[in-house]
Amino acid sequence: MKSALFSVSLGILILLPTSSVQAAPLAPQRKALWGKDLKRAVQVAKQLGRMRSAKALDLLMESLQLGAPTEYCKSRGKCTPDLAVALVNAIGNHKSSRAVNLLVNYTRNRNAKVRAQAIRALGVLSDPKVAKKIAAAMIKSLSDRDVQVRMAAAWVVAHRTKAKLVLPRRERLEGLLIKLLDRGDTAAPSIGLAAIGGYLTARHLAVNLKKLPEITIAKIYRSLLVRKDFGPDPIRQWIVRALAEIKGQHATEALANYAANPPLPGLKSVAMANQFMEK
Amino acid sequence: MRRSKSGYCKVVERLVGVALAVVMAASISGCPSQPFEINYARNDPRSINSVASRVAKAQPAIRNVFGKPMAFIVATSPRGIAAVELETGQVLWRKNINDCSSKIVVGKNFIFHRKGSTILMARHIRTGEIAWQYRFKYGNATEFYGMDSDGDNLFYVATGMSGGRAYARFADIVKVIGSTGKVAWRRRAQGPLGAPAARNGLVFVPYRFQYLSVLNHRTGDETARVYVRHKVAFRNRGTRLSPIMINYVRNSPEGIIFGNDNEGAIRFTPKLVSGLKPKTDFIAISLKRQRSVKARYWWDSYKPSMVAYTAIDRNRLLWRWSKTDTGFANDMATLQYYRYFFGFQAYTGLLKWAHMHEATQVISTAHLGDRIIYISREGRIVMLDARNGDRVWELKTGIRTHGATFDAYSFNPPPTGAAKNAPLLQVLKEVIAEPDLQFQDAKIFAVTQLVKVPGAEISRILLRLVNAPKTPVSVRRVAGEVLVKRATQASLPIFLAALKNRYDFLKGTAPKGVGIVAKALARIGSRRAVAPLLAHLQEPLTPFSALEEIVLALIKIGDKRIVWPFGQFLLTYRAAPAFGPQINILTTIAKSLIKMGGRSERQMLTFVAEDHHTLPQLRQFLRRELGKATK
Repeated sequence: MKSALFSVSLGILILLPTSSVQAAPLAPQRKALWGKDLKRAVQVAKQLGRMRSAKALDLLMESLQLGAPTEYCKSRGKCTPDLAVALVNAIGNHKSSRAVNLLVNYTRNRNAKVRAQAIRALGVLSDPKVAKKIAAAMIKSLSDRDVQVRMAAAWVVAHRTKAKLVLPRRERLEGLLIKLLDRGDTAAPSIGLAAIGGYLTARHLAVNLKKLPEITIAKIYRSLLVRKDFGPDPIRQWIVRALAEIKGQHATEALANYAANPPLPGLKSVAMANQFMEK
Repeated sequence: MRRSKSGYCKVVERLVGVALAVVMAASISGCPSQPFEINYARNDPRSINSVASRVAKAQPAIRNVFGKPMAFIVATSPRGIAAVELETGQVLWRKNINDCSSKIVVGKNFIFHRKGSTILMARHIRTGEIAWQYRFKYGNATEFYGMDSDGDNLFYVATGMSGGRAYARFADIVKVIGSTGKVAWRRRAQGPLGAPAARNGLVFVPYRFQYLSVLNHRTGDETARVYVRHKVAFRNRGTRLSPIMINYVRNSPEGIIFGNDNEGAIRFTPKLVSGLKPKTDFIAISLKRQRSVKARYWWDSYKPSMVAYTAIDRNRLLWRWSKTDTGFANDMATLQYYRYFFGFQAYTGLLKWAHMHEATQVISTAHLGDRIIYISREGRIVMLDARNGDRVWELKTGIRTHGATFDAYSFNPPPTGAAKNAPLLQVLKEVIAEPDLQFQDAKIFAVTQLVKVPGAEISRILLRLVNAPKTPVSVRRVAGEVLVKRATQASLPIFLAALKNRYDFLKGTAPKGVGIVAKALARIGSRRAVAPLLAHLQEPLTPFSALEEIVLALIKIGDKRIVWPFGQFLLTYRAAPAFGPQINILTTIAKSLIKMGGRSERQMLTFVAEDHHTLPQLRQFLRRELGKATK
């Protein structure tokens, strides 16, 4: 499969003059992408990402496959444009499952920004056939050493849950996010657990109330409480009690938010939140 | 009355003639000349043979009047000297003295030591009472190089120093009569002298770094001079005979032995007449040069610091000349490094046994023929079998020790506190695992010795050592080198297992020593290593240093399966600025693709060479290489 893909891309490359004649509408974009001006190339990549044509996707994939320069910073703030990230982002915008293998390859890139962008691009693919591949890549990215990659993976979890896309191995993902919390990462779990957290998450946070930062617990609890699918109510009551126990600014805000915007009517936990707020 | 100029000339001519006649007459009659003359005959056959025959005469192995094995211990708290009879463990006497500043030299009825920096002291061996004191001629300016006794007579070398020179312009060798403490003679050399050795009425002294002068003990006249040369290769200029450095001489029961403390030992025999090292009785252990664990054959006798008990006593070779043949006794030599002992087969340099003294420091050691004796800081005297390192005897004196001299050659007591030495591998493991950071050199030494020890298990130990976070960098580096050197097919599963680890933030795991493992796998050259190495090549967190080793290993193994992943790797990172400083990784890959790849790889390389997103160094390299390949 890989070799076929490679041969195709090389074929395209060799037959560049002929293909450019055939793909006349994208000829200027191709020229810009392969041109010396990286800023222009990035702009064109973004433009191609917005186009909803197969040829645009082909051009983007071909460009990425043949290698694109990543960012290089001479000093703080003085960086060259990141064409690789722009290409991955543009491919992601197409939401095409044709790009899944290429994107999965790029989740193993040595550049953390590229890895993070690749997992985001994968996360938005809606084709249920590639959901398993995405889940495997996500699991790998959750144990990446770079925090931005882990955050991107957690964002994918949240995104796929909210967009109601297929998300296999949900329990495993929840377990991994809880483990991340134990490893001292609070950024990625806050994003992921807010979306897929259930009883396990609520329990883990309650057990580790004094070990974890107040802001992390409050953020996750707040998200859990406002979710309609979260429950049953005794667990909500338990969370409200835990939030009241924490006595921090973020916990108070979470309680107030829950009391003001109850997800379902007639919940006893909302009344409890009100009581705590009055106190 | 004034004489004419021609008259003067006649007088001068006459005087010169008379002087020449006197010199000729003296040389014809064999009258001994002044010692240490520059032009003294070297390696004169008659004198060498005469000295060698006198040296060969037997001498009592134990010097003291009792004829019993003894140890003379310089104690620290309270400071003093104690005489211990080894057979019974009895302390014969103990005298408090604050400033014993030299090693104790044992004579027949006396022991000798320096007190402070200006006084030489003789004590009765039976009682420890002072027999006499002798004040050095140069007082506080004295630089004392060492002494030796022959019976009760003492010979010492000293000089007067001024101006902080490295070596003295002159040195005196002095004979002090043991019974009276009076100087019998003093001879001055216009050049440095080393510490002397005395035997059978002859005094041997290293002179000007390249001679061994032999003096008659009665008169102090020089009776022979030895000068040994060896072939030295010069760059672009062939070989030349150059003198060997002679910086020690020792009197041992097997004869007079001298040489260079770093090179080896020569025995005084008639063979010295040739003056060429290969024709003499020369021995040396074939031991790889170490960084800090030094195989010193004896003390450098031109260094005044060697007179005292120092740390150098704890880092040297312990050896004896064979009684029957030329070579080391039992073909064994033991390297001591503080509390570690390593027994080597001298001819091959192969490590046979190792011994680690528990807990405290070893202070002084001696080779007694078939046994090695040592004393530890807390006064525990232990005897090891020089052939296998087994502990054969032990005596606890309870004397806190600063240094000790053993007069106990051939002492072979019935076993007390005997214990079999642990197997070599176990001791080496213990040395390596030793938490004491003070003796890293011993660890490095132990690790380097593992090169020759067979068994895959060693690779596991070394790998663990390389991967242990607490291992000091220097030890890790050496362990890595050894691991690669001894990598064989038998150790392949260990290396493959090491590559199974992956970077995982959740589990807190990371593969360790991937670079070293890749090097070892390259040496083994097994195709089974290709897949795991490729997996690490694609791993985003593999460090650049390891990446380089992985690429080299894969190329060395030479499996065709690497062509596709190499091509992908090159395409992906050809424009990555992070590879700018590590461009050799990409150029190595590109070079291998030129060699191993087919038409499509060549097309890909041409594209990489032409595309302006490619890193400039890589483009330049590829243009050059592809140009060469086309030609």
